[in-house]
Amino acid sequence: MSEPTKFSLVKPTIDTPFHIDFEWWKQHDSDWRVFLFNLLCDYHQNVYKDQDENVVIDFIDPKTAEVKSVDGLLHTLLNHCAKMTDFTSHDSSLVSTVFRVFLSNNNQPLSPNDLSKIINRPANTILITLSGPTVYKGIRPFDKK
Amino acid sequence: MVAPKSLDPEYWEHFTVDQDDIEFLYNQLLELEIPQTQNSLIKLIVSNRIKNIRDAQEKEKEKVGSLLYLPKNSYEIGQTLIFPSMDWRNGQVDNVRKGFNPEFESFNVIDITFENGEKTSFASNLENHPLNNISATVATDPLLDINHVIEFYGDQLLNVLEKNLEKNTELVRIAGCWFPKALLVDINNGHLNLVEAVLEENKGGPLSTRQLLDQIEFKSPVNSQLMEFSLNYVLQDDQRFDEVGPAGEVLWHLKDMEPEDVRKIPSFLQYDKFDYDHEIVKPFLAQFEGDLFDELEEWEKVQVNVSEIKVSLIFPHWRSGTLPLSHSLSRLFPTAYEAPRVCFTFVDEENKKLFPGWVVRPHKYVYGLKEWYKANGLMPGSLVHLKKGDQPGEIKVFQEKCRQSREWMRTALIGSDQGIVFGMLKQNVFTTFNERMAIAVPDPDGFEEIWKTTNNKKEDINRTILRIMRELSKLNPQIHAQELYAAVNILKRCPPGMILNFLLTHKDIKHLGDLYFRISESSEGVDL
Repeated sequence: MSEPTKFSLVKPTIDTPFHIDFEWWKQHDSDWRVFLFNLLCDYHQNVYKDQDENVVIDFIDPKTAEVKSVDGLLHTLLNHCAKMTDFTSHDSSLVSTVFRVFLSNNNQPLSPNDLSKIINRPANTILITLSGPTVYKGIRPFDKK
Repeated sequence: MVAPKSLDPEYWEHFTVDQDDIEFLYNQLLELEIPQTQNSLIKLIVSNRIKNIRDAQEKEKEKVGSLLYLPKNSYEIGQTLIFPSMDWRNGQVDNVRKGFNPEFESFNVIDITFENGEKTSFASNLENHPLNNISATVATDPLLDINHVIEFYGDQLLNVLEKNLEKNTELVRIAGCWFPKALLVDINNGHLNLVEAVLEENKGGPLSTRQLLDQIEFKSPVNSQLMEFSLNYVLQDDQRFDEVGPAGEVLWHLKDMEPEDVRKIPSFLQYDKFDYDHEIVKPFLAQFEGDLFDELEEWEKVQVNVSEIKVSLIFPHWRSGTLPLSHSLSRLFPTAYEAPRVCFTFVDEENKKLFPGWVVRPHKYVYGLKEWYKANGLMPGSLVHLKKGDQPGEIKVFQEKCRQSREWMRTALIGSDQGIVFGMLKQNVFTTFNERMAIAVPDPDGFEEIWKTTNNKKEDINRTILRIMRELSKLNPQIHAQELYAAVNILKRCPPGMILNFLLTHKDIKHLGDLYFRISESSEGVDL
């Protein structure tokens, strides 16, 4: 298991990139899988409802038929459900919306400025929310290291 | 070795012709019995290569049979499989287990160790996967599509093929077509003598191969294309005959009956190549005023629209009855793949009379206008209009006539010391002309004699230019480069670039702007 990243001492700005730090989230929120499950589309909620929440699946490469063992919930969420057109358009809180944006873009780092253009909320509001004392759903500044 | 799934682009990029290709072409030509162009031959080779690759792939697939990894099949521990998606590498099954993925009903996972020790896993017993249809993947490879290969690699393949065929002694080429030498129809000396007689009767030619075969009444059971090709081949090797047809047409002429100025470069057009810095003169060449085309000038701007061109004559071409085959004019006149001399027809636009013309490709001039220049009263500097004729291989020639008038013209005369002098004299003028280049030459025979003298031939070109510049200065000290170009060419063949190089680099010549120059006053009279 990789060591969770520590807080940076540098104060984030509206240009500081953020992302979902899954490792940090796993360490600090025992309900993170429940939350992920709720984000699955109806079809996949049905598929995974009887599975262990830590289920590992055999992902089959669509071109080569190579098999890789991957985290079932996360893989399905990132590669299928988060790609659905209405995934980011749910009427929800700022934090949930930002979280969905990161899931839909394969967790590519985005700054409050970038996010502001996507979710149409002020960059400063996003910055204040994400850089406050509470870390929501593992969303933290992206450490380039 | 199993053929790769997708062909490596290097296969066509580094294409070479091997003995199998030559044998294949030989057999194809044998079967077709018709000589083929290089374009057709390369298509035959590419199509054969693609067929061979596909056959090899099919054979390998059959040979490896059940050993070819397909996701739909079931495998056991210890089996060695070939993986098309992994560059067709071999790997052994180490373990088989039940696979789990809620997306698929049931499948197995086989753990594989490749020959290089690399380990990975693959799905088996999986019905629904694109890799199960491997032949469809191979079929879509663009490098195995003849149209794609010809479009992207055609020119390069043609070059390689041409070099190989030229080295091959069993295949012969004429007029862009190839055929096995051994299969040509036997044509003997008697036939060739008959051809010579037929051409002689027709003023030397030109006649097509078909016309020649008909007139010598040559009979053979083979097809007419092969008969023509065979006759062309023997005529090509016989010094008596010359192939003079434009591209795509084979016409024969008796070499001895071709005009002397076609067989040998006219003395007025001979030029002793002189090296000079082309970069210096390039920007100034563009300032020469229209209608100037010179076959010796490599840097001529090519005209895009070449359906009609107006050429300003210089003395050497006027006297030889020729035109310069510069870049622009070469696009107007008929050309050929191989024939150095191309016979075509001039059409006098005014009276519709036809007369023969010759494109002499190696020496870059067009011959056949001597009588026409004389009959129409042209002089050095006159404008000759040319345009494509109504029939292929025809060129219309005409001049803008002006009412006969007497005008003050720059006139070149021979001085008492046999040197050139210039004066302004009244001359009869019959045609429109380029004002900078027009020079009346009342005694062309006299200049022809001077042209032939050893002194004139041996004189350094820079000396000749300076001598003529001094003579022109007597009429007007400011001399335009284009006027000097026309004047120098009365004594010596010289391209405009050479004139400019002299004017721009000589220490005693002053550049006055545009293309005007003058000799420095301090050096006037000094023998430079």
